[in-house]
Amino acid sequence: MYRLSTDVGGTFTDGVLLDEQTGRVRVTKVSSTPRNPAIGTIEVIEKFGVPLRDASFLSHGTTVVINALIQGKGARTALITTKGFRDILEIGRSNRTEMYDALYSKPRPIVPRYLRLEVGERINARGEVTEPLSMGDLESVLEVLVREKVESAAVCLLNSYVNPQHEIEIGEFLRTKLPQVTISLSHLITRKYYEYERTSTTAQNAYVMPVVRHYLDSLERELREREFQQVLQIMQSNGGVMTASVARDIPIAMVESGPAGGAIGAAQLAKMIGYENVISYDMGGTTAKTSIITGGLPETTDQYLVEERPILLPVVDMREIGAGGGSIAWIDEGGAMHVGPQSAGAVPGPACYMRGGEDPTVTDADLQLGILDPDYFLGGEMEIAPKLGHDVIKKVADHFDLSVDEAALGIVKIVNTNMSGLLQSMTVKRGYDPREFAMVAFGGAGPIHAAAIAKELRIPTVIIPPHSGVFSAWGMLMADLRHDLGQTYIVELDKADVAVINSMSGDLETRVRGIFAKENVGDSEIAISYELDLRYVGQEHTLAVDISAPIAETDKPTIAEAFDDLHLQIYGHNAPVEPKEIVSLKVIGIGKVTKPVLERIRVGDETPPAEAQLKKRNIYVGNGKYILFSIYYRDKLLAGNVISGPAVIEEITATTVVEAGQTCRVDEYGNLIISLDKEAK
Amino acid sequence: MKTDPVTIEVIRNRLIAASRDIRRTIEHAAYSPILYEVVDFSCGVLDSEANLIAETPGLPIFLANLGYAVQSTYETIGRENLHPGDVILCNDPYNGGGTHCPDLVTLCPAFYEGEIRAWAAFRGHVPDMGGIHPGGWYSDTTDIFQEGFRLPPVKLFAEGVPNEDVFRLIKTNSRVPDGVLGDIRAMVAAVRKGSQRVLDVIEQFGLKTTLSVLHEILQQGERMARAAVRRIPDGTYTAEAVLDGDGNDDAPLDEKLLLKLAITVKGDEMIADFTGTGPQNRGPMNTPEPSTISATRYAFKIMTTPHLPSNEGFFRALRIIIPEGSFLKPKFPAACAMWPTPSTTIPDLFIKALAPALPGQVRGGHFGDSMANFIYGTDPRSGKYYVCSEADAGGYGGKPTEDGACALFSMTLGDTRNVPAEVVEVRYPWHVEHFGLVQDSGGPGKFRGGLGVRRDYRLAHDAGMTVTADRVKYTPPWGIFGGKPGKTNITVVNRNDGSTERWRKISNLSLQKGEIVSFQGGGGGGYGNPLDRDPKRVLNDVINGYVSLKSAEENYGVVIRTPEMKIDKAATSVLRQEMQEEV
Repeated sequence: MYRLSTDVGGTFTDGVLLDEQTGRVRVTKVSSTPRNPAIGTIEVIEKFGVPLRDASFLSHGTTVVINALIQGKGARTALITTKGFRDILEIGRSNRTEMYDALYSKPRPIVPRYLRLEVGERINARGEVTEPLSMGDLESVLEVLVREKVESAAVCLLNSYVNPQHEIEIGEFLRTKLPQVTISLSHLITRKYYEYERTSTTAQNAYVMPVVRHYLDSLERELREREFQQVLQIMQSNGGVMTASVARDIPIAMVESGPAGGAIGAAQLAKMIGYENVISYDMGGTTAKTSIITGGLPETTDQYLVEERPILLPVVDMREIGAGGGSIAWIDEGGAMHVGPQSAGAVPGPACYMRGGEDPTVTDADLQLGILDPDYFLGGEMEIAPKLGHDVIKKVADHFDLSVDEAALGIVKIVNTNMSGLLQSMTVKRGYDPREFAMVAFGGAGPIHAAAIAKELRIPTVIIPPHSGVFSAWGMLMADLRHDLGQTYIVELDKADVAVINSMSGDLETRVRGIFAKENVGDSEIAISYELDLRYVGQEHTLAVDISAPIAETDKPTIAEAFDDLHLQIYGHNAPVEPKEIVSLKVIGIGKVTKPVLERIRVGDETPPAEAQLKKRNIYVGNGKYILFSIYYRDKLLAGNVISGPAVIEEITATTVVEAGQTCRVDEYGNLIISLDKEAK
Repeated sequence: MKTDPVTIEVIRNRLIAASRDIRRTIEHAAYSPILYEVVDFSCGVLDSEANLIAETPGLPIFLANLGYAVQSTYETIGRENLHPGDVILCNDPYNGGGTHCPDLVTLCPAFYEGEIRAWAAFRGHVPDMGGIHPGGWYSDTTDIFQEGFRLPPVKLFAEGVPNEDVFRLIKTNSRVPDGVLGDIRAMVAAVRKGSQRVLDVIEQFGLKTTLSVLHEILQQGERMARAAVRRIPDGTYTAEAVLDGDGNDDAPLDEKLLLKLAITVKGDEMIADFTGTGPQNRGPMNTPEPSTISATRYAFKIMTTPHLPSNEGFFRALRIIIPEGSFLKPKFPAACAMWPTPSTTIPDLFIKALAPALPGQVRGGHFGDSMANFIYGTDPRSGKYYVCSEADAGGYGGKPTEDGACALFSMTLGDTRNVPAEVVEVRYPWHVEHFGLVQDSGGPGKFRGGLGVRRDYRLAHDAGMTVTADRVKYTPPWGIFGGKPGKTNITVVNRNDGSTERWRKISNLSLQKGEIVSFQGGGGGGYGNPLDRDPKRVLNDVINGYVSLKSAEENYGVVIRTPEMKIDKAATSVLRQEMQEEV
């Protein structure tokens, strides 16, 4: 039996196959097939040449949702709201994120105004019905839905987070009358308050639902034809997988499907080799993405923006900046030097790719410095022209009267600072000290820059996994099932009735277990944890405190203290005497998937075998100095090998730099573990 | 000494990150919605001579006056009396504040080798600092002494030790001391964090390098601004607007307040001259000089270098002339609670004045007012006193190639966010009855102005209210290049006895339980002749209810057949011909 994952990206569809008997991992890449993305997945499977009936687990990440949102290719969608509130989607929060832009444009509402329909009804903030649902209005809505040939309907009523009664009634009505129209009810997606954010989430869910259902139908049909016996698992933005049947109801949960795979991969890898707290660092051609893993799980955030439209669902807290191998170095009118966020992308790409690129990029700089080997680009499969890279960097060098090498080093330094700033803000935001983390670096450009960034942030350990070019797909292979449910419930902690909290957490837990039951996850595999979102009375933003349910009255002081401590850790101050307020309760359900045992690589001595050692190379390190770096071939390294920097370790899809004073050890699974601490063995 | 470009870029990004950290701390730890949702604040890093080095987006018109707070601190306390661990607090409009009493400023110096090398600064609006009515925003005050408790620059912390006297003074003088003190705690934490981040930079790169980079950052800003000004054709460009009176007894609402602007572009310098602007008011519609400068710099920034982060260097290409004793440079002790009102029109006038020179970068006028409103009273659910300050949104003008934006906060507000209806209903004893766009409020044009917004609250208790909508009587949101004006701002009160009141500016109005107050932000002005608008766009507007059938005919000359909703091409062509001839 084996396990399989496929990750459909914009350019490539990656596949990872793991043989459960031997623990051996195989990887492959095929070109993505945007017209029918399912084909890429099938091609990956066929390339592996293994029978699908022997697959015990198949997980899948896809850009189908994000593409539908970005390209505006969703379904014909209507939105049903409380009377007087259909413009919520267009008014939004009325803010301008670009404050100096006189011609600022807001995101276009995903549902046009004539398809935003109102019904008379009202439920107050305490959940009491103050105006019954108008059946007359509902009949009028029905008429419009039919007349306008609407394919999907979103329903989001004011205060439905407290009492969803009217949403449920509308849902039943529409399902009976229009069985072919897909329905999204806001309370089934999230029970958090903030009506614009909830409406936006529900509308986007409805917008992509028919597209996703069609896609999954087609993919599952292809899989069944190939005798696939298991349930297809879909990667979610929260770092867990869900079955395809659940994905059909909450497709918006898979919006960040691919990137979440990288974070979960970093988490699982770290756990496997004994690290609890890691920073996941993924640098490709255009962007760098980072997320934080504590206690073995990626940290999530409760809200996410796509095209400036909010999605109120837990998503792996991922920060992204325009810093990748293709990022362009440029000089502004004031004479300042910048790198990115513009990227040369895949076409024309860096100047050295010989595809017409005329701007100096990070990859050109890495090549100029001697870090990249011109004769071993993609394992020698790709021909490049160092001269072209040199010439474009010279433009920058001449402007500032620097040597070309010095300018190249400057480009690398700036991009590294941009990235260390990103990482710094990720950790500082949470009140963490980067020195207590290890970094897992992957993506095409990640391993080149990881050690330098780690040095700047004083991160003691950098881990470069094998197959770092398909690491997101590898992460999907390792993902557990996960479902998050939250409920807004605003009450002072001291005055809160624990019976109410316990019944609420009980209900949420029942719902989570219900979803797992639908996914055939056995009770013994399910782990449930609970969080309370708390704040000081008068504050708006909350911090999540872990609790165990059910809680007792006597637990309150402990909860309060945990919140005070967290507030101090993150914001640098707290107010223990101030009363605290509960804002919401969250239940997180993890459905554990049995993890395979990975294959161990051959064990060797401390000294790498001769066949792993390549010819030494001079690399520019600044101040006019060149240092001779040892060069290694990663595929020939053995477990236990130790490499002292300065060194470069090459493989087909990535290049790892070990700086002077750093030590790199190859572990039993083939991970490169770089220690920045000189004393480390 | 010349520092290499790489180090400059690295340090510049670090300082921007420092000001971002200040903002993040406030957003998450502050108590008052006006800080964390309305984002009525700004923060930045300044050098030792009070030059803004790095900022983070917040309220743009607050930016330039952070430096004023630092200068006032030097003058009041004395540079020699400042020490590591000090945190400065001030709000006096005439000494350190520069705005109005509810805006508090916290400053934290970054000391290195015994000297101040930089400042982290924060300015934000708190719910109440005393004064004649709750909220600090009035239309009926006649001098600064009525407007609230004033603090010149004082040490809130001296060498790390809290000055409990100051805390007690604030506690005594605010109507909602808990919230204000909670906000102050967050503000202190924020500037301390910012200051520490600057010190981290100095530690890493050395003092000499850091200082030379600060210098170079300002010079880069100046070069960029000058390059941008050079692209504007030389000449003098003028625009003016007549604001409504401030509603004070001595200055009735129908009084005309003339705001006059002449922009002269000469080579790489721009002069903004407000000569001819009316005298200072007896009432509170006066903008203290630092805030006029701030609003003008903001306007300069949008018309020259909108996509670059700001610093003091940019403004070396701008000279500002403000007549002494005008409502843009009032003399002590003039009241100034309503200072943002005139300043909101300044950037709009800039755009209007420069329209002939930069037709592709301008738009019609926007609704032109922050629509600030204050409701206060005792919450019957908790028995606690509350003050809620909010702004409301309106439409922006039509643009060179697309319609104006609907429902945004006024220009001088920035990344300000509204308070969601579901949050309002939890926090305040009100019921939100309606929150929607207003049909036909956008000024007609080839590219239509954006629509204004109506938000209705029904009160569940007796309360007080202050509202101050401007640009109502004399200067509606103007159209440009033949576009027509948008609908003006207004606040409507539906009384329990069935009567309706329409308010422009009123302080401390009594509202009874059950009454409905409706804030209605106006629309934006149109861009270009509405008769040139593509009839398909007009039809689309009618289908979506942005524009009524009646307006489609009367303003756009487009005849639509109902119920099939089709353009009557023949009738449209005839009507447009007729209307064209009338003009």
